[in-house]
Formats: sequence, C-alpha cells, structure tokens
Amino acid sequence: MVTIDLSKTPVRVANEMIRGYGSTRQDVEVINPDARHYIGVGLTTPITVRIRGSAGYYCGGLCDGPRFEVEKNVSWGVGDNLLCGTIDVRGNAGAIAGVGLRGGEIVIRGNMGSRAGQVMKKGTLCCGGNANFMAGYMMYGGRIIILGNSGERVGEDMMGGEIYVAGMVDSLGNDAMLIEPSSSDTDSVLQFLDRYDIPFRGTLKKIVCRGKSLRYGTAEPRLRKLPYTSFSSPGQTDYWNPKVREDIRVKAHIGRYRIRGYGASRHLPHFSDIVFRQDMSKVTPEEDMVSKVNLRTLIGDKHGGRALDLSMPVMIAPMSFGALSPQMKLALGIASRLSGISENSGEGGMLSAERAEARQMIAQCLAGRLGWNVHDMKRADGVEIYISQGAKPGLGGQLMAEKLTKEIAAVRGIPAGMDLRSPSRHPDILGGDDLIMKVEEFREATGWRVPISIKLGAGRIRDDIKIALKDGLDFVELDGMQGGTGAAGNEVLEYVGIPTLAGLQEALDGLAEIQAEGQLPIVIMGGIKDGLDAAKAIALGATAVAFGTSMLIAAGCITCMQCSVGSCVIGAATQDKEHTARFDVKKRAMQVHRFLEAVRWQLAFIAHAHGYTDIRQLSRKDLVALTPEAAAFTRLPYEPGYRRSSSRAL
Amino acid sequence: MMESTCETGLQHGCHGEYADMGHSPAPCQEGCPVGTDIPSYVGLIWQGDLASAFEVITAQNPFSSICGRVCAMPCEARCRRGESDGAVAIRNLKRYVTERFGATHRLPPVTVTQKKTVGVVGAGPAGLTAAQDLAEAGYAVHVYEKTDRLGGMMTWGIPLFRLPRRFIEQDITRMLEHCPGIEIHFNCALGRDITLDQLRDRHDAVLLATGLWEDRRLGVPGEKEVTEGIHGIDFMVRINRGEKIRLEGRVVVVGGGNVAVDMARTALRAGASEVRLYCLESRAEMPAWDHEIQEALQEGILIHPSWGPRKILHEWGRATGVEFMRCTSVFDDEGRFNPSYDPGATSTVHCNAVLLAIGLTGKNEELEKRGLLERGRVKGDFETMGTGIPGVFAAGDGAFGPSAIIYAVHHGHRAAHYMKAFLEEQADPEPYAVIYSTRGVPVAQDPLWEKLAREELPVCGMGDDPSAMEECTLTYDAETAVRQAARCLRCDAETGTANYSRRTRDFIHAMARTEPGQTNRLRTIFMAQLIPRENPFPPERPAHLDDLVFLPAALTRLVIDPYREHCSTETHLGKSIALKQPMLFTGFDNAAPEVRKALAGALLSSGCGYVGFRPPWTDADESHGEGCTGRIPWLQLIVPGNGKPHPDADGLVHVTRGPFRPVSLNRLRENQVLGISAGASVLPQVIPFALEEGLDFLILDGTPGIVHFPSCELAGLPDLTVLRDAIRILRDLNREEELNLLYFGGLRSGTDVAKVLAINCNAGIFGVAMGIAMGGVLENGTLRHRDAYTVEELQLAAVNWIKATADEAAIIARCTGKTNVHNLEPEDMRTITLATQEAMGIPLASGRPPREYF
Repeated sequence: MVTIDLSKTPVRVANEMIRGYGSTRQDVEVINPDARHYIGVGLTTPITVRIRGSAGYYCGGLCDGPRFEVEKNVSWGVGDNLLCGTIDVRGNAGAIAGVGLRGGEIVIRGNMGSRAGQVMKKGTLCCGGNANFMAGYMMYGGRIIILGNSGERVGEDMMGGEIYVAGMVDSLGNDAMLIEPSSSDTDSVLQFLDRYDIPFRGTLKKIVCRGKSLRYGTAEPRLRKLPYTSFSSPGQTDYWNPKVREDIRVKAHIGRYRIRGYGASRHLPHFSDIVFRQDMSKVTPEEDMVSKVNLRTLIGDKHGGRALDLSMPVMIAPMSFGALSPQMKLALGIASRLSGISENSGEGGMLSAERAEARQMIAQCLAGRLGWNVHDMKRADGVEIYISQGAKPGLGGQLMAEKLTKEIAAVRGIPAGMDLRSPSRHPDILGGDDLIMKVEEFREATGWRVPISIKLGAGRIRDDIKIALKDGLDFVELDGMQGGTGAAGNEVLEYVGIPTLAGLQEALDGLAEIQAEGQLPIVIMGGIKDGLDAAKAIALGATAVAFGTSMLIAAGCITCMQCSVGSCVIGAATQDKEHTARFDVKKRAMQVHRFLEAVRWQLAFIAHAHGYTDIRQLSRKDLVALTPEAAAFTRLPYEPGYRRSSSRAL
Repeated sequence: MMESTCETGLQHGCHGEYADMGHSPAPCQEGCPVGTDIPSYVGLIWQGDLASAFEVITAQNPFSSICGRVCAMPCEARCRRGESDGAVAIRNLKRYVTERFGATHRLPPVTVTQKKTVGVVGAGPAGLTAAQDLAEAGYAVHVYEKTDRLGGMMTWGIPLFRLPRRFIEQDITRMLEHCPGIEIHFNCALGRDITLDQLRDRHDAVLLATGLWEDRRLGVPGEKEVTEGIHGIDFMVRINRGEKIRLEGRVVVVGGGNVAVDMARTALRAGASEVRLYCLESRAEMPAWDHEIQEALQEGILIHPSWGPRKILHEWGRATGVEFMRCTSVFDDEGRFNPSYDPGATSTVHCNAVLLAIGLTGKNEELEKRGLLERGRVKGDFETMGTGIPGVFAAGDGAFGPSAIIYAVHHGHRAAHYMKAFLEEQADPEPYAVIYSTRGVPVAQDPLWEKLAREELPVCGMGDDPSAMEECTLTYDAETAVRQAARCLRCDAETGTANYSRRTRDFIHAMARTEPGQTNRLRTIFMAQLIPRENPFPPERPAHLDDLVFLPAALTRLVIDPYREHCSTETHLGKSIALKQPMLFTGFDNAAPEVRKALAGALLSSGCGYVGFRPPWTDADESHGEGCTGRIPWLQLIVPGNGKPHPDADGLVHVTRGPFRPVSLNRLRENQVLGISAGASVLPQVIPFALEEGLDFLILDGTPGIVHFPSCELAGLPDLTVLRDAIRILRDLNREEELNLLYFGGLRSGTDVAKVLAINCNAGIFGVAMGIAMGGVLENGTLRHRDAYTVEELQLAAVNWIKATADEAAIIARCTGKTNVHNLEPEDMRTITLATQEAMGIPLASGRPPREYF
C-alpha cells in the first residue's frame, strides 16, 4: 500500500497518482484528506483506496471497480455514477449519496442527506442511520436500504427499483407505494448486511413504484401537420386559425398538452432577416476557392484540454440515440468523420459503433444521467454539460414508450416501455456554484484532457453566459427556440425561450458587459439551415454553428414533425425495426456528408465574395437587417433596400 | 433525353417561384414529363373524390387510361418514399381511377376556328397528343397513319395481357370526340402514299411523328442467313393484329428490356413450351421493370442474365439455336454502353425460335432522300422541335430515340407549342415549359400512413386460354387504393413549420444530393438561397399574444423539475372567491341546456368560475344554489337597464359602455365581490374610481365588449394595451396589489393565460375557446354548438380541456422556474415584434445596449 498525503499533494496530482497505482494494481492510502473534493474520481481499476479521514464532494465519483474506505464522513455526491466497486463510509454522507448509481455498492454507516440515490439505476445504496428527505428520488432501478427512518417523501417519482426501510416511513413520495417484502427480498438484504458486518434484527418495509405516472393517458390522435401557412404567414391575422382550433379540440380529447417533434414552428425573427451587404450574385466561384479560404476551427482548449479540431466552424448538434435510430446515429458519425467535424452523443449514452465511426465525439451529460458512464467520458473528445435546450428550455428530454425499447432502455440503464420524461434539473447542479464543482469533477475524471462545454437554451443568456464564463467552461453551445427535438410539449416549443438570433446577440452582449468579448467561444444552434445562416452567425460573433434538424433533413427527413410517435417513415427517428430497416446507412451518411460539403463550399464562397481568406474576417460590418425586428434584435442598421429581388439575385 | 437541370430544390432557383410563393412541384410531379399533379390526385383518392382525381389525371395526359396500365412511371422513380420502403404505387392508383371513369368520360367538342391546317404523320402518342393540342387551338388536323389502326406502338407493340384494347380505344375515342377537327387518313404511309412535299402543299405545318419500326441488327454470324424462326418487333405487331402465330418447343428471347419481357410472355401464350430470356445485363441491371420480371418468372420464364449472343445457329435457313458468351460488363468506366465479354465462357442453347428485342430504329426513304433521317432518326432539335425545314417539325421516338409513352406525350405537347407559335407567325416563341399546377388537396389523415407497405397489383396469371391474352393483373379494390394513397409523403404540401418550410427542406435535400465538384449546381442552389424571405412581421401585423415568449430558467434562474414538482394554480378573487384554476368562462348564457349543464358540471369539478348575465347552473339544478357545497363562483354581468343584481351571485360586474360614468355598486350580501369591466380607453377614469370605491376587481376587456359574445372575441385581435395600461396606471398610483385583475379577450390556451398572469392578472376569462373545446364550430363570424354530443361527452371534453389548459399554464410557469403560476411576472417575458413590445410594454428578446457593469 502506498500513501498519498493530501496536505502535500494537490488533489489533481493525487488523482493522477491513484490512477497510476491503479494501473499497477497497488492499493492506496490517502492521509490528511481534510474533506477535499473529488478524491479518487475517474478511477477504473479494482484497487482499494483507504481515506484516513473525511472526504468532500464526489468522493469516488465516476469510478468503475475500486473499493473505497472512508474513515469518517463524506460530503455530497459520494459514489456519483459508480459502475462497479464499493464505497464504505464509516460516518455520515451529505446529500445525493449514490447519485446516478449504476452498479456496485455504497454503504453509509451513519446518516445520509437528502435525495440519496437520485436517478440511480442499479447497485445498492445502504444507509445504517436515517435518510433525509426524498431518498430514491426519480430512481430507475437498483436498491436502497435504510436501516433508520426514511425521511419525507421517500421514493418520490421513482420509476423502478426498490427501497427497504427498517425504521419509520416518514411519508411516501409521489407514485410510490408500500408493499410487503418477499422472503427472498429480505434474505437478500440480510445477506448484504452480513457481508458488511452490519448487525440488524428488525423488519423491513418495501417501497416500489406505483406506476400511475409512467404513461400518458389517452393517446394523442395521429394528425399530419397543418401547413404552417395556416397559422403563421406574413401578416397573418386569422386569430382562431385552424391550428388554434385543432389544438383546442385535441386537448379536449386527451386532457393534456400536445407533444410533437421539431422546434418552434411559427415564424420568428431569424438569420433570414439579415443579409450581407455584398451582392454575391455577381461573384464567380473559383475552382480552388475552398482550399484558399481558412475555415479550420479549433475550439475548447481554453483550460488546457485538447481542442476539438474542426475542418470548418461546424458541429453536429446533440441528438440522442433513442430519439434517433442507431442507423441514423451511425450515419451522422460517418458523415462527421468524412467532413472533419464533431458529432455529439446527445442524451442517453454513446453508441459504440458511432463512437468508432466518428473521429471527434462529444459526450453529453444530462440530468437523468441516462447511459452516462466514465468510460464514455474517457473515450470522448469533449464533455458537454446539458443545462437546457432551445426546444424545451427548463424541461428535460422526453422519449415516448414506443421508442423506449428494450435496447434503448438497456443503454440508458432504465426500465423499458414508459413515457420517459427525463428530469430537467441535474441532481448535483442546482445553480452556478454547483456547476463549478461538477466541471471540476469532470476535469478530474478525464484527467483535464478534453474540453468541457455547456449547452444552454437561449433565455436569460445575457446573464447565464457570465456564469458559464466564471465557472471555467471551455465553450458554450447555445440553442435558440428554433432548435428541434424528438418530443416536447407544443406550447413549450412555441413560446418558451428566445429566437436563436436574439440568443446569440444577448450572449455576445453579456460577455461585452463584463469586458469579456471573445473570451468564451459560442457555438450557436437552433434553426441554422445552411452555410448562409452559418456565415451570418459567424459574422455576428459566433465561433461556430451546429446543425441538428438540417442533418436529419439531409438524411431524407421529410419534416412530418411526428418524431415523437416513433414510426418515422424514413427510419431516422424511430426504434421500430421494420422502419429502421428502411434506412440505408451508407447512402444517408453520404447525403449528410454532401450537405456538409455544400455548407463548406458556401462558407468559402461567402468569404471569397468578400475578398477574405479567413471566414473569421466576416464581421458585423458586413451585415444589414432587412426587417425592423431583426435590426432591433441585433442593432444592425435597418436597410430594407438590400432586399434583393429574385431576378437580381439570379 | 429529358433535360435534368431543374431538379428538386433547384426548381425554386430556376423559376424564382418562391419569391411569390408560387407552386414548385413535388419530385414525382417534376419527374412526370407532362407534369401531372400526382400528389393532388393521390390525396383526392384518399379523400374518396375519384371524379376530381380523374380530372387531375387527365388534365395533361390524353392517354391516362393507357398510362394507368403501362406507363414507364418516371414519377415512381423519383418518389421520396422509394428511398425507404417503396415508392407510392402511383401508376396503380391512376389505373384504379381511370378504370372507374375512363370508359364514360367525355370532353366537350372543340370546333375548328382557324383557317390554317396541320398535317401529322404517325398516330402514335406523340402525333395524337400534338393533334389534340392543335385541334384544341382551333386548327384542322389531318393525321396520316401508315397502318389501319391508331395508337402507334401503344397498339402494336404492347401485348394485350398488359394493355387490353379497350383502354387504348377509350382514350383515343375520347380524344377524337373531343376534337372533331382531327381527320384520320389510314393506310397512308409517308413516301409510299404521300410525299413530304404534298404534305407541305396541303398543310401550313407538318409534324413528323413517325416512330421506330425496324429492328436493330445483332450483327453476329448467322443472323443474315436465317429467314425462318427468328422474329423481332414484327412478332408483336402480327400478334396484335390478331394473327394466330403458334410457337412450340423452346423459344429464346434476346434482350433485357420491357419489350423483351413482353415478347417472352407473349411467346409463352403463343404456345412455346419453354421460354428462355437472355440479356447482356446482370439481373440487377436489367432495364425491364422488376414487377414485370417477377410476373414473367411466376409464369415460368427462365431468365439468364449476363449473356451476349455470339452466333445464331441455323439449318436450311431456319434458326435452331443461339450461342452465347458471358458478358462481364455492359458499360465501360465512363458509363457508356460498351459490353465486354469473356470469350472463354460460352453456352449454346437450342431452340425452335429466336425472338430479338434489342431495340428499334427508323427507316424511311422519303425522309432519307430529303436528308431528314440521320442514323435512323428524324433530325429534330429538341429546343424548337424543328427539323430545319420551315414548318416541318418532329417528335416522338422517331426523332429522339426509343422512349416511353409519357415522354412521347411530352413531345406532342412540346411540338404543338412550337407549331402553334409557327402558325401564329411568332418570330421568337416563348420556350416550352411544362405546367406544374397544384390543387392544394389536404394531406391524408391516415394514422397508419408511415406504416402501410406498398402493395403490388394482384396477379391472375395467364388464364385458362393463354392465347386469349387475358389481362394478367387485377386493379386495386377500393380499400387497397385508399391504403396506398395514404402512403404518399405529400412532398407538395407545405410543412408544418415556417423554419423548415418546403422551400428550406428542398434546398437541404438538393444540397445533400450535390457532389462537392458540381460547382454550377452548388452556385445555383446558393443563389436561390440568397433570396430572402418576406418579412414575417410586416408593419400591418398588430400586437399579438403569440409574439410574447417566456424566458426559461437555466443558470441565473434555477431550474426546477417541471415534470414532477408541483406548481400551484390556486387562485383567489377578492376575499371570498377561491378557484382551483386561474380560469373563468363566459358566453354560455344562451347555450343549449345540455351544453350549459355539461359546462356547469365541468366548472364545478375543475374549480373554475363563470362570468355571465345568468348563473352557470340551470334553474332546475338547485344543488348549485347558495349555501350548498361545491358551487361554481359566478360573477354576474350587469349592464344598466339589463337585469338586476342577484343575491346568489358571488360577484357583480358593472359593464362600462362608452365614456365612463361613475355608478353606484352595492353588495347584496357581505361576501359578494364587486368589479367593473372596462376596455383600455376608460381605464384612466375607471381605475381611480374602483380604488376609491374599494372595489375588488377589474375585468380588463381586450374586446369590443364582453357582453357581445361571441362576436366580441371573433371580431379580430384583442387589444392588448388594456393590460399594459392597467398595470401602468396602478403602478403609477403605487396601488398594484389593491385590485384583482381579470383579463378577457382571445385567450386560447394555457400559454395565453400564463401570459396574462405574468402581466399581473389573477385569472383569465375564456369564451370562444371553450366553445370550440365543446365541439362548437366557427361559422360566418359566430360560434355554433352542434347537437351531436351527449351531456357526458360535452362535460368530459370541457373537463379535459380545462385540465390540459391549466397544465399548460403550470408547465410554462415551471419552465421559468416558478412553482406557482401567480409567481409569473412581466420580467419572465420578452416580445419578438416591435408592435407587441409597444402594446405590452415588454422589452424585445434582445438588442438593448450592453450595460456598463455586471
């Protein structure tokens, strides 16, 4: 056993050392821990780490295999996302012990704080004393054993798993119910306690999910979408238009809000309402134009990680395996490699085949920690913390039961067949201060190797971006309300958040207010359709753009907006095997690739038309606004005279 | 042959049509050489309007019954659904419709109005189409046909089991009855019976639509020596003339196209005991349609792909077999027809007859003499359809090579266009353009549209007497037709989202189908994308509730868990009225008793209030009377001279009209709340008065007057300034908390009510929206309740809608980080238009200058 003295060694170095000893299978003793945070984070070898004292936040977080022994107490988030191994805490634990647990065993011999085992999926979390409120909050699976009292609202919104309480059940949470444990249940718990030498002679009560909130009630009638012109066209004043009437009737039928795919569907001020001053219709493209204009973009090395190396300022926006079929994800992976840009896992875990195809892959971490694990983080080229998205800011993801198949559920580590409404708030990121802690934990888990970014839906972005800057993130992925999704409530899609154009301007203004222009790269997304939109965003001040919906359309999506239903006609947004069989991965990947190459050509052409050799030479000075709203949003000059007629443009 | 510069997506650029939001065709329509409005007729079939579907089908295609059976269907090749689970069965659907109406449909006759006349040589699809178009333009048209029948290769080249004679007849009969000015000269061949000069003398313009009638030669040993047992197209012609050609034993067919397959199947019906089809192409490359090949295989025809004939074996001038060698590839690296062989791999097959179907060519001494024939084709310029001789035009296979009927129809239209221009002596005619129109048919609302699979026609084989050449497939039944029509993706229809409109989607599709090196195409797409959209918010667009958005929680506002965390919707008005939801309803005073009863039940169980002249409960329903548990809070509307204040009312509302005059309002009992309903114009007087009198609430009326229901809500957009002004006045007086505010006017959803709550109202009053929820329809500016529903159904609809609407309001509040809908505040909102910013006093979503400090 080797000894690391935390009074002399910084945690960052200590963690490197622990991982190093781990690779040679040597056990480690940590002395003078002094409740430091992140001790042992990201350890994936089966060694014993003995902590002689108390540990701070995320002790043993994001680990797979080790055995931690903590002599005194731990602060919150002990054993965060543990995949396998044990953590044995002699004293008490703070809040969210065993958050997002995916396997292994955590034993807290004293009391534990609130929300223990939040969104856990597997493994056992055992508390020898009392639990505070909402233990097992939104748990999907696994087992919590509480030998003392349960705390209030135990099992709140649990969707799977089991909670055993030996003491008093203070109160049951929503959708939780008490049942009688079977003898094998009891035997299994007793065996567990035996193994940890925890004496116990009482009786157990068992709490499980009642299952009343797992599925929506009456199914929404299948209606193909009304043309947008029936509810949003220039000057539209038909107040009780067909869409309004249809919405009212459907709600009177189903008794809840409507759900659909895609982003905001009505007209919003957008990049289409600003134009370049330069009349590009008379410019002839040059043969070697694309190679002459510098498009290469490095992003994410602000804090010493290895930057993403993009062949042009373009990314593929996060879209989940689950919302999308494995075939569609694979096609995106291939296209991202062929075009030299990055792909993103989205919510719900990384598809290995896609990881293999994509050269650069960002792993996205969401509140439900679905499919989240240390190995995917380590094999990722970037880690992205999702706070919110443009389509449904303030809400978590939705995946209807039709798409939550056994395979998807297995990857996500949750039960199949429910209408999954992912939590919208991270168990461990309630605000800006917790965010710093989480960013640091991720840096520790990945050895400070990869960029850590944040995904934000545009709203109060003028101030949110200041927090992102202060919290040590490498870049921001900012999503406006035109951003798409696989499923969200219609009203939230249409009316929550601000347009992408406004979001970008607000973010830039926010940085300007604290004299931090250019200090935090912004990747803008949400309704970016082509190279023209992308170039305008870059001219306004974005570092890069991300395409989401356009990627699907390039792959053949026909914009029926029924992604939530799960029977996507082209096999892109479905898990139905008959439908995914329709999707020709190679052909679709080439379509996406060609689209991206057309974007590259457009970016190069626009720069070339301006006489620039680098896309970053584009600036606000090159732009004017065609509408009063776009001018007011961006403070660009209002110059309707630049509205070129079709004949002039051709 | 068809120019393909205008592909999907580029179409917009080519014609700049989207500048005026004109129609651009769906891929199938664009694929159709005559521009048939396919999505519309498919939509009409789903709707069951077959007569209209037939009108669409025949609008640009005089041979629609024929095409319903044997069209080459370039449309299906372009069908986007073909990229996933099989193209929409467009042709089979056409067949289904034409079978209903084709025989009986008649068009009104057109008369000859012009002095000039036209001569058309050849009564095939190109010639007849041109004849029709010219006849419709008033010209007398003389058609010279070398055979004794009309239809050209449609009649002579296609076997009856695929195209029964009656369908050719019905299309042609319809055309000739429609165009009495067309005169047919049968058995009149160019060169033999009439010369080009004679035609030019007789007519002001001449169209050469002579077709291709001669077989190409194989050019292999033995071919020239054989005089018997070998056939080409003459085999089909003779069979179609009605000759009983009997074949026996084994027959070898050479060729991989549809004609070869037709010949093979015909040979089988003519008595061959075994038919073997040999072709150069591999099975996958065979140009014949797959379903035809499948049918041939089912009939027992043996297909031997990748073999090329090397020698025809013969005895005494009679073919006895063919020697083949292995074809290793048909096309060279540049994609040109240039077969290569493995001479080592050969196969000899003995047979009683050889049928050659390797292509046709043209031959006409008269034309050759005039220098009009070149390599078997009439010299024709596709851009003008001219031949170089003034007034002499060319069209069809004879001029532009072997093709399909629908392309010949295109040629006919095209030639007629330029011939008319010539006859009218236009020096510089407009270039011919296919007409793409749309009927704007609604999309099929079939819940299974994504799942339904393509179904082929039922095949019924050769029948008891194969030589009778009975049709070998059956037409869809009605159910199948509807299922197949439901599959259409409706690429023609506008999408449901302005941000990814058809135009945008089609651009992206075009980009995804353009190779990086195709600079011209990339440029064309880009130039079309440069055309900006119209301003979606033109100055005349008034302030609108839709143009308010909410700011979600993220970092500066803490996110809560909206799916789970409770959000209170409890609402209080004055001291005495408690509602479970911030929702009241109005406008049902005079509704039918069932509707009123259902509404009352819903309001009671949902905890909402009612605003009206009459109480929401019915007279018979005393349980809702005062003193009983569970009553619906009722705010009585009082207009001077209309009704007396009611002691049962929970509140009294004085409705202002015109300039405000102070009124005296008295509580009839202690807990009765008092209020005034007012529009924006009188607020400066009403608010101080209400505060002075100690009233409990105001109804902010965004309509011309709550008492004029429903016209007040249907008249136009609500006046949102009433909200802004009320808050401003109260704020200026610093007495914001002293009056409860209710808003009425144009509320449609939970989002709308969340918006008025955020402005600082306590609740919203719904009228028309509930009427619609309970099955009411808007007609001629009024709301009509239908009597099709039971009280229970109506009540369930109302309860559901209230629940959904309240949920919407709550989830919006939760998105902003609030756990009580009443905690929504103006700062949670932004506007997206200047008009709404002005009317609501809420800032725009962005653009305020940066502050100087954090």
